[in-house]
Amino acid sequence: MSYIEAHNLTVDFPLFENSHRSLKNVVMNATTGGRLARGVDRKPTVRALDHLSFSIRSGERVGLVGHNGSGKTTLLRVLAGIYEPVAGTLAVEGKVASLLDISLGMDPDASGYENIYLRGIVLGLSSREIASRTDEIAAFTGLGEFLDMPVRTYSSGMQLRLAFAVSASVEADILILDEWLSVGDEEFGRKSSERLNQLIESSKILVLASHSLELIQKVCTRVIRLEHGCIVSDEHV
Amino acid sequence: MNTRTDAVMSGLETRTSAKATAFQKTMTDIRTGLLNYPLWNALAWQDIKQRYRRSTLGPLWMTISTAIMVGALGFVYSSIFGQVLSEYIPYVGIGLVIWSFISSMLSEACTVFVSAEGMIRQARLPFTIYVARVIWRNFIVLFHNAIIIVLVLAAFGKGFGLSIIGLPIALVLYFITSLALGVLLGIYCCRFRDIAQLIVNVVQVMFFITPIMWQASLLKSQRWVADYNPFHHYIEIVRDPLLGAAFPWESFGVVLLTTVLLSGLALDALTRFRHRIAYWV
Repeated sequence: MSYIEAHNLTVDFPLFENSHRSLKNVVMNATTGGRLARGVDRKPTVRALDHLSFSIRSGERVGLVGHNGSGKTTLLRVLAGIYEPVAGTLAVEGKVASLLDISLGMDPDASGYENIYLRGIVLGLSSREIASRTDEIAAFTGLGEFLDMPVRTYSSGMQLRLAFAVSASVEADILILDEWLSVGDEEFGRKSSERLNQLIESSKILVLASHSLELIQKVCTRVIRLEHGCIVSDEHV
Repeated sequence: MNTRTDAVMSGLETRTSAKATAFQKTMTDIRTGLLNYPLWNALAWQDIKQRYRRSTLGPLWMTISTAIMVGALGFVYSSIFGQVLSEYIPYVGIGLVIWSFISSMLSEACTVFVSAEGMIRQARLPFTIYVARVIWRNFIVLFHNAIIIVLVLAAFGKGFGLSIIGLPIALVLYFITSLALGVLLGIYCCRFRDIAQLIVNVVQVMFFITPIMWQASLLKSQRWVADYNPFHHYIEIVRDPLLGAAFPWESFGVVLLTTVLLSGLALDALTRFRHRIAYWV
C-alpha cells in the first residue's frame, strides 16, 4: 500500500546573506512568502512549512493551492525527498516520481535524442528502458527531424513537448507534479492532458500544485490550501 | 533534531528503511551513487562535450596544451637546472600531467554540489552521483593527457621495472582520495563559500613548492619541504613506477594514510550534513 504520512512537518530555509535585515523587512511586509523566524542556533531562517500534519492514502488525488510562496513547491520537494524536514516526521511508502521542473537534465547544446537519454536517466530510467521507449517518446513529441537538432534551436513550446514526453514515460506509485505540466499549445495540450490522465490513473497517489482551479476541480479528490506554510483548509471534493 | 524520513529515491528503486540511521543512509547514498554508472558517466561526458562543443579536436585540446607546456618547460628548465633533456622531459611531463589532474580535481571538488544546484533541487539522487561525475570527468581528462606520458616514455623511457604494479594501486588510491575530497570539500564549500577561494590559493602555491619542475634531491638539507608534503607523495606513487624507479614504499604509506584519514572525515561530514546539502546549495 502506498501512503504519505506527515506529522508536524517543518522546513526552515537558512539565510546566509549578510543583508538579512533588509530581506527581513521585505518578507515581513509582504502578504506572500513564508514567515521569518530565528532558528535554534540564532541564525535567521525563513519558515517555509510550519508544523504540517496530514496523511494521504492510496487512491487520493490531492491538489495543493495557495499564493506564490505559500509553500506549495517546498512541500512537493519535501514529498519528493529533496528536502529533509528540519523537524517533524514524514513517512512515504511507494515509488515516487516527481516532475517538478522542465529543465531537469536538459542540455541546450545536445540534440533532442541526446536529451531524451539524459533526462530519462536523471529521472531514474535505465539505459535499456530508455532505448526501448525512445521511439515512443519521439513519436509523442511530434518533433520529427528536429530531434536531431540541438535543443537550443527549439522554441519554448517545443522544449516543453520534449521534456513532457520523457517525464510522462516514468511510472510510479506516487506522482508529484508541479503546475508547468498544464501549459503548451492547444493541440499538444489535448494530447498531453490525455497522457497525463493515463499517468494519474496508473499511479496510486497524486499530489499536484496548481493555480488553475479548473485543473484542480477536474483532477483532484481533495484540496489542501496552504498559506504562509500552514494548512488553512483541507477539503474533500 | 528529530527527523525521520522514509526516503524513496525518485525514480530509482532504492529505498532506505524507516529506521535507517544517518550513517546507514550515508552508506546507501555512496553505494547507490557509485553503482549508478550510466548516470555519472553520462553527466561527465555531457560536461566534457559542453566544454568542447563545436571544436574539431574537442578534448584533445587539453592534450595539446599540456604537451606544449611540457615541451617548453622541459626545454627551458632542463638548462636552468643543468639536467639532461632526455631525463628531464619524462620527469616533468609525468609530473605536469598528474599535477593538472590533482589541481583541477581539488578546485572542482569545491563546486561538486554548488554547480549541481539545479539538479539537487529538482530530483532526489544520491549525492555521491555529483561527486562521481566530477571525478570521472577529471579521469577522462587525465586519460586524454596520458597520451603525453605514453609519447614521452616511448621516446625517452627506460622501460618498466617490477614497481609498475604500483600504478594501478596508485590510480585506485587517487579515486578514493578524490571521492573523499569531493564529499568533504563539496559539503564545506557549499556552506562556507570562502573555502573554495582558499583552496585555489593553496593549489597555486603548492605547484611551486612541490617537486614537479625540480627534483626533491635539489632541496639538500631542506628535504623536509618535500617529505612533509602529501602532494609530493601523491605524485611519486605514479611517477616512480612509470620512470622505472624502485617501488616508492614510503610515498605509498603516506598516501594510504592520507586516503584513510580523508575518507574518515568525508564519511563523518556526509553523515552529519547530507540532509542539509539541499538547503545549502
